[in-house]
Amino acid sequence: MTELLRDIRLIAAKDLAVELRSKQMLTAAGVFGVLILVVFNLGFHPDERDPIAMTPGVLWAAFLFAGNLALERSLSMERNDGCILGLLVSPIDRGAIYLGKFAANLAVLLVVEAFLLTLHLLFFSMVLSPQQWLLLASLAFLGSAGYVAVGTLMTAVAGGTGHKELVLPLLLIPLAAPILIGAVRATTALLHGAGWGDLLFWFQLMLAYDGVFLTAGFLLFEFALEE
Amino acid sequence: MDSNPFLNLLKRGSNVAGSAALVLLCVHLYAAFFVAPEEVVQGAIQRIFYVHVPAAVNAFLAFIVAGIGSVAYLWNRGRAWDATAVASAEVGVFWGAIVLITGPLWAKPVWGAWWTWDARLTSTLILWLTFVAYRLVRELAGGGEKGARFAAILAIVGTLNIPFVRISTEKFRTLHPGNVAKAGLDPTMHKVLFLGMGTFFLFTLFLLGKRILLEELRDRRLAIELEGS
Repeated sequence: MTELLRDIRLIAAKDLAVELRSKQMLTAAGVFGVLILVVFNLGFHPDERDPIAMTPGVLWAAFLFAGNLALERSLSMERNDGCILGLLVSPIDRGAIYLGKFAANLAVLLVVEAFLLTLHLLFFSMVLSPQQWLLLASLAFLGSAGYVAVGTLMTAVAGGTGHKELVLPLLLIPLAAPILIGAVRATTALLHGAGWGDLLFWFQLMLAYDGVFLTAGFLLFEFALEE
Repeated sequence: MDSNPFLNLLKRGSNVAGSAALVLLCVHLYAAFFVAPEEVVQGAIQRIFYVHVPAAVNAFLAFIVAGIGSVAYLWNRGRAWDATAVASAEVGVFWGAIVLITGPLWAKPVWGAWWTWDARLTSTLILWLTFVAYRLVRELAGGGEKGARFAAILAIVGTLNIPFVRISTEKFRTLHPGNVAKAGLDPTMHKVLFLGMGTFFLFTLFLLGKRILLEELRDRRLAIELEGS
């Protein structure tokens, strides 16, 4: 168990170190996310937009598509330079590689989301109460964890087809639908002043989703890596 | 092929299922149009229900079989399991398409809209899209063992996703006629509905059998090509 944790930490630290030097995922996902926000802002007339009605959809669309781009980069960096072979011959459990990559991807996505959320509040001149911040942060964490859990596994699948850019969103968006539905509903509720108790159902659903798909990814990742 | 008793059985079994399905389909169509009583509120359009519901039941069944076949394939790498999984995924997409076409045809006059983002509509669409992607992954991975493996992962994750999609979509208000409608169903309507389910199930078996045999033929062609080169 301690060995597994050590391996997970090693992989996550390696991925984060590479990311901090190249900043590929951060810039790609960050810039793309900003573009999505801009598109939504231009898509509605300034006089007709309702911040509370629009925020959940705009925000989660930006998170999901930015996340898609970040995930797409995460495994291609291994495949490009043949690093994947090094990983595969190293005495590390495939499940640990999965969990390490999951942790690194989640960390990157959360940084991008924090940036996009700040920018969105600025664009819409919105102010959130401390409780709303806390609720939204918890939602973003649980929702993104589920999305990245499925996404880390699916990048390996999509990468294997040789048409990663085309295939990844086709796989990821339907699979992430429960997360999107839950996140959007819960965000709408919290913007209308709902508290922890009102959001309990969605938190439970996301926790269950995270648990199921992290386990599935842990068990199935080795099948996606075989060459 | 003829020396393999399993394939022989499959061939004969699917032919029997197909013939039976053809005969029953005639009976079912007759029953759906002339035996089942006219629904009081909706009128004739309600009869689409005898195609829509059996197709939906068979679609979900096929998707679940695809999920189970994929687990078994990753477990023991038996080619037969993979053939079963790909066959049922395709049959499921076929029935799903029928569900997604007949649903709006019924909804327009009854609900007043072709499509609503109702729980069952959304969950069926999402599941259907997942298995369309399944087909795409297999195709783009170039077939063979690799495509089978990647597609199996997707089928398993997609099947695991079913309860989450159902729960998350059902949290909205739903318009879809569900258990209440079933409980108050006329006994004759019930019988026609079950006849439809049975008929479509036999047709599913027929399609599955033929599709698995097609996979076997492809394998043999590949083997011959490899021998020649």
